[in-house]
Amino acid sequence: MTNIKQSKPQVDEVLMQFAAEQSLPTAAQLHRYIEEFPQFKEELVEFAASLVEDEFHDKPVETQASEAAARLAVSHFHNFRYEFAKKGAPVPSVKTQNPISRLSRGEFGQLVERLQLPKQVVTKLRDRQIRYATIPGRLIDALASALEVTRDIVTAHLLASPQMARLTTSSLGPGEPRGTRQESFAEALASAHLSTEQVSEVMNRFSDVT
Amino acid sequence: MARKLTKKTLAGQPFERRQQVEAQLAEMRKLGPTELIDRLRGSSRGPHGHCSVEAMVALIRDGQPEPVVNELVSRVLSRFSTVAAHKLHVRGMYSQEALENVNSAFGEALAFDIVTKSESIDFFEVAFSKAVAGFIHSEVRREKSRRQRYVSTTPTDDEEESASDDTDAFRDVDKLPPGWLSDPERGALTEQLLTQIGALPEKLRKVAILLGLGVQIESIDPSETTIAEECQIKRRAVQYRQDQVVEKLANFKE
Repeated sequence: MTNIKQSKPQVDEVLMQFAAEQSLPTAAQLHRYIEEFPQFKEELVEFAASLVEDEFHDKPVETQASEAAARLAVSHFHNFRYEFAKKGAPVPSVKTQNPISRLSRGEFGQLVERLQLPKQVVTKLRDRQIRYATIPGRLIDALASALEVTRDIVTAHLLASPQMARLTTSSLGPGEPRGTRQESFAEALASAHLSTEQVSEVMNRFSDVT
Repeated sequence: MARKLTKKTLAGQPFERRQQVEAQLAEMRKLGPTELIDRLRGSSRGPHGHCSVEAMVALIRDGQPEPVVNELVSRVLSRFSTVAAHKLHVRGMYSQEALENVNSAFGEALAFDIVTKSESIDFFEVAFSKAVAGFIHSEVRREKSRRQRYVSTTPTDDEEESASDDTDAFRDVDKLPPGWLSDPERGALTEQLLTQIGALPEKLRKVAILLGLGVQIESIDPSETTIAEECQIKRRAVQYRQDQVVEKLANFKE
């Protein structure tokens, strides 16, 4: 679970958080946000006023123009989805931070203990050797919480290519291939010599639906 | 039990969906794909038939068979487009280009969310319309900036400029009528006060809203966000408008 304060915030996200927090903004809420995000003061003031102004207008009604724009958006959505499915989600830059590799040996041990996963599996998460799509959402939440970073930082790390992670965490041997095959989360558990029952226990523990 | 939201408030409390949305979700999650599509199309509404757009976003993020995703996405994007168009109009920044830009950005964010479970979409499950307002705000500012390149924004000399030069433009908000700002949450805009403000002419209303939000009229610090800057008028004009607001709301009692 994440708190926007923990990372470099995006203005849109701060504004959405501000808007979703209360039914109507108050001076006190605005001041709290300005104190927390002074870099967005102008946007926050303007946005808070626009939220109040919204109260004086009728409810939105579909128009031909909005429907035409929506149809276009549906088409864009499918294009984006196809692209993401084909190439994977946009790969973050080489500078993508690896929130696990910065841990000391002792801290890494504490993370392993907290997640109650085999050390090899956590190492693979660190080195991005596990396919993102197979990692349970709750495990990503648990990682974000344990590492005290946002979920988005963990997601960006796990989505980056494994080769980059290896380059940032260890040097490659002379004959070692530069590409690293990723495996599924279940495969990573199995290759850590967990029994079928243990794999099942871990999968249940991090299942997205309770 | 539904998938929980991971975004938190500034105070660190996890955001939650409205109870009504949770109830809809609980019902919708029991349905098979065909029934769910029928329900969304309104052809087999149960006693609680309606499915809010917040619940639709949550259903997309749960993961659904392809036909259901298509139905949900089409409805959510239609609603997004309607709300975004409305808000762009209200902010005086509507253009087909601006609308298509925000729609496309939201379509991308939704597609990205399906792949990455990015948590920024959480806000759309909490309060869709308000999340749209936040999502489009950068485009509103870009549109404003585009227009300002072509339109002079020099304040016009109207009757407001005739206010005397020695008026105190730094008059404190506390001098406004009693009841203007309610306690204990100083600055809460109550329903009654909103009604009063809503009845004001537009240019007074904007000043009234900013005063209610505790924004300073003017500042010697150029980096400070002030009412004069927000309304793009001179401080004397702000003072004049503030006096009018005070006069019009003089009889307001909470």
